[in-house]
Amino acid sequence: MTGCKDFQIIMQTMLDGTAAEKERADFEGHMTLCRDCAMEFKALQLSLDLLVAMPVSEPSPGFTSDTVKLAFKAKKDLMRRQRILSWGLSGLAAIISALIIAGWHMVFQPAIRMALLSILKILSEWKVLSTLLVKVLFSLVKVLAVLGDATFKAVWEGYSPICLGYMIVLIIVISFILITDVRSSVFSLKGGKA
Amino acid sequence: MIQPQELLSDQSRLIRLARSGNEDAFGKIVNIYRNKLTGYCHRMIGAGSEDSAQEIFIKFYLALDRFDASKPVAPFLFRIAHNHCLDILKKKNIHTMPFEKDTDDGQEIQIKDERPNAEELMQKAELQNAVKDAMASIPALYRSPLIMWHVEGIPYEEISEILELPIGTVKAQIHRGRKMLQQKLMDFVLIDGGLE
Repeated sequence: MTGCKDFQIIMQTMLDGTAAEKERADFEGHMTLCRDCAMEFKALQLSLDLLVAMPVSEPSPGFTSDTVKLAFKAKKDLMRRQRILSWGLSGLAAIISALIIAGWHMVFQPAIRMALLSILKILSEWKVLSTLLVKVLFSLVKVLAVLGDATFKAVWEGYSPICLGYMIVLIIVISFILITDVRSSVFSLKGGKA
Repeated sequence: MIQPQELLSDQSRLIRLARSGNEDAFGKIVNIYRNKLTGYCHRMIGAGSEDSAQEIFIKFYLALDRFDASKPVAPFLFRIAHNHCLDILKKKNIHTMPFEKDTDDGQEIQIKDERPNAEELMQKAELQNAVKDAMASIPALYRSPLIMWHVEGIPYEEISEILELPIGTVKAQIHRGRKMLQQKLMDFVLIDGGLE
């Protein structure tokens, strides 16, 4: 047997517009008998009609152009802030890396000097150097092919300031350390020979 | 008549252009949704709906890079609008969580067969304020899906996607929202609506 409680559920499906034909017929039949349910349903319908009919003023004439200007300005500001932040972070990371490298270099200086000299000796033979360069270039091309255009573009656009800033500072610091180190090694070799 | 698929591909094109910095394309998107968003904000937060709609469009533009242009714009835009309105209500310290209150006056009522025209009824300033107050008193979590479903005509599946809630929960929220609205407007509906 279907009571008022069951019709409360059907009432909602009626408002959703998903009530089956039989449900609708049963409900309409019930409404003719039950004044409370009929009143509730009509009050619900009218309340929702009022919600839909609620007057809303149209946006002002300059709304679209103002919004577009503000949105584009906000985007520019955001990109500027991101760029500043990424340069700052990359600088900080590079300084920290350089300090770590410098510290490591100070601790293991004799070992590094020996290693560098050995590497220089090998690289002095051009055949080895050219082969190595070709291999590095091939590996780079392979890596880029795997990453694909989109990834490469995203990395370049999104992280280029970070990578660039980091690399520049790091290369400067490492070059300085290596040049100083190699120069002192060469001088010591020359001194040894003399 | 424009088919939904054509509309989607047209909007995808506009999104791609806007993303690449085309102001006209973004302006067209704003024109398509400005009335809908202003109306949604007006029903959600009342005063300041135009400013809120503008802020929503700005947030939408800033988030365009994350948006999949092959998908429809409305759910993404309404998700931003929903969260934005909730933030405003929280800042205003207006309750967004559900509360329970029943009104049962047990009156006997004579029902008329036809219900009156809501647009004509809304000419009365008193009734306009009553609807605004009634909406403001409904918790935002119920109010938002209620507006999306009844005013904007967004289907349950899409509302569920926008609010990131199961369809059953969305339906329950809309049912409760309807009930609350009806209870708040009962006196006006009985007198002005001629149900008494």
